[in-house]
Amino acid sequence: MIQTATKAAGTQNASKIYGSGDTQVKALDDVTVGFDKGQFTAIMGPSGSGKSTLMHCLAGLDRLTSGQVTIGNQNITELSEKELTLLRRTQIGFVFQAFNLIPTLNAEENITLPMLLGKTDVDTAFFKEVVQAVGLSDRLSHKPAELSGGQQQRVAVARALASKPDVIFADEPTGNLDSTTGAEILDFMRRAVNEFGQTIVMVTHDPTAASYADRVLFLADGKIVNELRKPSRDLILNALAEATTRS
Amino acid sequence: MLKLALKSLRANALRLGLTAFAIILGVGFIVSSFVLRDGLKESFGSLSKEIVAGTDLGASAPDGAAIFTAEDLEAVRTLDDVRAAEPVVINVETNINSIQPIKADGTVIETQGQPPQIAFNWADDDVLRNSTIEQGRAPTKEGEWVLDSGAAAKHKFNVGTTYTLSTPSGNKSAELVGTFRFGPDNITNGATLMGFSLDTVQDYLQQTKDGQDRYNEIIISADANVEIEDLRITVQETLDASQSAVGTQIEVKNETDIINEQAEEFNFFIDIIGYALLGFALLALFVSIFIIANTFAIVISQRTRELGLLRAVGATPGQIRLSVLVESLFVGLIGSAIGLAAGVGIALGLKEIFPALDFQLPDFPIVLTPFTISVALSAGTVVTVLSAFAPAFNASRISPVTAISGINPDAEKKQTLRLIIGGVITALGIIIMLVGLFGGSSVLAIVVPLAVGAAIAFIGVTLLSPLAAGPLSRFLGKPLEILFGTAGALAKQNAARNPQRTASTASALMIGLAFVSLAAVFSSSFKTDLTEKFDSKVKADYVIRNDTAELTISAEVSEKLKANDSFEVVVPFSFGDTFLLPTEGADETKIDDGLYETIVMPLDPKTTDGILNLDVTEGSLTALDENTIAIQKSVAEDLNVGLGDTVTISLTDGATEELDIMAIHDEGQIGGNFTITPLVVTPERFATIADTNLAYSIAMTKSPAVSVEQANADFEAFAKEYPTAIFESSAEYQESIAGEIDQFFGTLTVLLALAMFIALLGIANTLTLSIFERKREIGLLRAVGMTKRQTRRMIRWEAAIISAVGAIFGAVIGIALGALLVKAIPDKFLSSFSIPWGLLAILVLLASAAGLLAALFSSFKGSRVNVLDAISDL
Ligand SMILES: Nc1ncnc2c1ncn2[C@@H]1O[C@H](COP(=O)(O)OP(=O)(O)O)[C@@H](O)[C@H]1O
Ligand SMILES: [Mg+2]
Repeated sequence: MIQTATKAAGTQNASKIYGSGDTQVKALDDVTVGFDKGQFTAIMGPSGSGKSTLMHCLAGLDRLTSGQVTIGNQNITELSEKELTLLRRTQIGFVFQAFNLIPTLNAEENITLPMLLGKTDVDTAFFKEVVQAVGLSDRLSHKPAELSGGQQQRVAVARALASKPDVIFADEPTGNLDSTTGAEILDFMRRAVNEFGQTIVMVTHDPTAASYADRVLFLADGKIVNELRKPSRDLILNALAEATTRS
Repeated sequence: MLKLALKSLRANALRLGLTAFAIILGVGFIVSSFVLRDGLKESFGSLSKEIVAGTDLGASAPDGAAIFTAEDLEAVRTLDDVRAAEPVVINVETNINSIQPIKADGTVIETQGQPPQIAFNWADDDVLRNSTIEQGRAPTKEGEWVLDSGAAAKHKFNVGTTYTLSTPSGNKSAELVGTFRFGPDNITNGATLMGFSLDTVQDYLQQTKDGQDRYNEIIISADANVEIEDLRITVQETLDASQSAVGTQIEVKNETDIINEQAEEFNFFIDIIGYALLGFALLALFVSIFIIANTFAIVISQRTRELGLLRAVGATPGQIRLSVLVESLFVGLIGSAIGLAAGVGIALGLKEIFPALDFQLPDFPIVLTPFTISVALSAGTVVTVLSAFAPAFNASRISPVTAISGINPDAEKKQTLRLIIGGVITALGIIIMLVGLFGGSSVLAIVVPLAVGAAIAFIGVTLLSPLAAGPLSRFLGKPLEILFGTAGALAKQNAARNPQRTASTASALMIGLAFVSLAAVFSSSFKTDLTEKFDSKVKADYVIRNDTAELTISAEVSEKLKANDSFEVVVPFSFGDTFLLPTEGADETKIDDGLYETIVMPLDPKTTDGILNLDVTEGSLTALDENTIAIQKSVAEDLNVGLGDTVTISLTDGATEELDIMAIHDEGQIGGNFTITPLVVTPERFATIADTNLAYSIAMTKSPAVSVEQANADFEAFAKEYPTAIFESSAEYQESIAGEIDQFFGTLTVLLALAMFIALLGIANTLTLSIFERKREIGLLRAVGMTKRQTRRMIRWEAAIISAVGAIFGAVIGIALGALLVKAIPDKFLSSFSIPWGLLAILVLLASAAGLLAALFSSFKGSRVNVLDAISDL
């Protein structure tokens, strides 16, 4: 246990192996990483480098082959399936690339879904603040099908924020959006970190997106190969090229 | 295209397997109804041969009435070529006028739903008797009887013991002097056979005419090498010349004809059982149509992209259509083939179940005829392919562009067209039903349009029902939202999101429940009607009846009751067949052979006034005497007579008598076992018109002079003495007839359970397919913190809502059909309409609970959705 109270999430010697024998793939190879509270981290790397695997294991959606994952100050490696589910509900937020919303629920219900599932009270003041911030106040009663792609992603981010989780994981949240809309989402995530002190870990392919982060990690072949703090877009491009040639 | 169809079959094996299961059940039950029927026919066919064995010729009247005299028998016996001739005295129709032995413990052998108890004379001739003493000896005089060894063992009757026998002539005491074997192996198919000396059985069964003993039949064994047909003609001529042939037609038949006639009689009842089972099997198959169509529709909507791609690369709409139909052909064929095998299994199962339901079936062989096989295969296949027609047509209309762009073609644009078509079809179905109900003149002319109309109307309603399915789902889901929070809310939303699918899924259950509700409404109305009529028309304190409506109570019972001080008025309900001569202007269609056949009963207006309410509409009963008669309104109309006119009635001695019409009464059902016949005369007059003194039931009042306790004690004592009859207070009687109706309803529901089981299977199937479709959604829910338990709950309650929607639609339709049916049935049989709200509510709740159960598998599957698979961006 090297995690201190300043870490929102992290891994210790995390390894994830898919398959066995000849077809064995080492998606994560002894990764030890921590994410500070109130920090916006971007994870980059070539396709197949293990970014999604890392996210899934961190978020309690998948289990490591060996090593540990910590959320807050809790080691989640040994938790049961049900405990993991409750953890995801209260301590973790999600934004996926697409299909983030339940089509039968309206925007407001989608945002408060984790709280509704837990039957916990919604912090109305905070909810209003978040909704205000994402600019969805007049769209709350709309169903996902009645919202644009960008609006849908904003609802997804608002959902991730609304339950005040320890950490939000976003796997290519702007991957399906045009650059203007993408920028809006990223702006908003940045503000969430600045204004609400939210911890966010985001996977992205896009150096511009990564430049919104406080810290960029580079993954190749399941290992962290580089790390930049407050990098510019150019720096990121270079590091990315380097990581790609490594693998 | 064939290859494509086969490929898709393999890929969708699970879903289509579930579809095939509906076919397997439907076909299975059709096959089992045939197998049961054919097996029973074979079994009773051998019994018929057994019964007739040894008899070369038999003479009888068409109705089996006792007409032959001792002179007739003697005339036949003295004929050349006749080796032996024996009289037969037997209780004619299975249970009517039967002799019932009372067991040592004071109880009787059960009669309801059980094989008959048959009493006959122990003939002298070994060959014609066809029965052999096994223990003891043959009965030779009054006070002796023998019993078949199977019944003796089963019901514990011991040779050497004296038993009381309940007979049409009253209770008799007789010693069991022996047991016998019928035919070589005593195969009786469960019947109880009793032998008596000729005089005894004639006396017990009262088979007399004009004060002379009579025989029901004369059976003949010919000398060796005699031309039977020649002898038959000789016997016929001999009997035709006899005095007893006057006014009746005597038939002399050879062995084959008698066997066939016997078998035909059995087959009539076997066919009734067979058709009833077949009806329920057809209903199950009909329900299957909805499930199969729905499954194909869903599978095709899930394959929209794939089919669109096929269209894009050059498949014609016809080819797409064909591939779907070929797929359905295979499912149908395979399902039917398995159903054929399943049917044999079900028949074997029914064989085991029937005795448990207190319904005795004899052992029967499994007979699988080519007819059964071809019907099973074609019915199952045709139904499947027909069901796939609409989905196949829709599949062929998928445009390549919409398919590839992934836009859901379910986005309804033909909604209004669908509603119009649905409305027209529903109306058509209702019209056909109405035509049958109100225009049909025979049972067939009523039932066929009713069934066809109902089937058409159900299809129409299914097309219309999406209109209400959405709002209803949302309404029903409301409480779940409060009860289960988000899982409940999502269950509600999921049930409401695609009203068309919800409606189609619910339709099968709707049909099942419509029939159960119809039966419930009908039973309830019937119950209300019976008790209300009985209450208002029979002011009796006690009633006596038999559990089988055909059984009778000997005159001895009513005489002893009349003699008892505890009872004031005792009214035995006796019925006699009789004829009136047609009058001027009579309805020709009601006249047969120059006679108007009807039924008469005796009533003494001086004592029954105030106890029996006959609903006299014209005239008065009080002055009824030997020269007057009361007739029912319908008889007055048929014969074109009125109050004060005279009618001519035929008497048992062959003469006729003119009677003045004193009163005209209304329709005669007065509740359960109590009926007022079309003609009513005084007991004295009745004795000259009808040959019987047996009662079907007795109603009576307590004498005001004795205490209730005293009357009850006397009543109980009578009940002990005559265990074949049921002795009840009026209130008990009303309760027990209500109970009988409930039991009938229960049996119907058990049979309808099959259709509902298939319907639930359909819900399970649809749900599994929907889960498959919503994999990503479920994955997302799981990712953001929905527990497995919540997931299962969400899916289960979606099923419950869908079931409830179907059940409610069904109940509403059932009530409507019930109202229609009650309206169509003449008031004399059924005039009340009553809706059993409580029962219907329970049924709807049960159906919804069954939906929860049906979702067990899909909810398990849904909770097992792999979150990563579901959310990985493919
Ligand atoms: N379920 C799985 N089974 C087998 N291999 C997998 C599975 N998921 C991912 N992998 C493999 O693990 C490696 C990392 O995958 P992933 O984390 O999805 O990469 P990234 O998100 O960086 O593109 C890849 O080589 C991929 O093929
Ligand atoms: Mg990835």
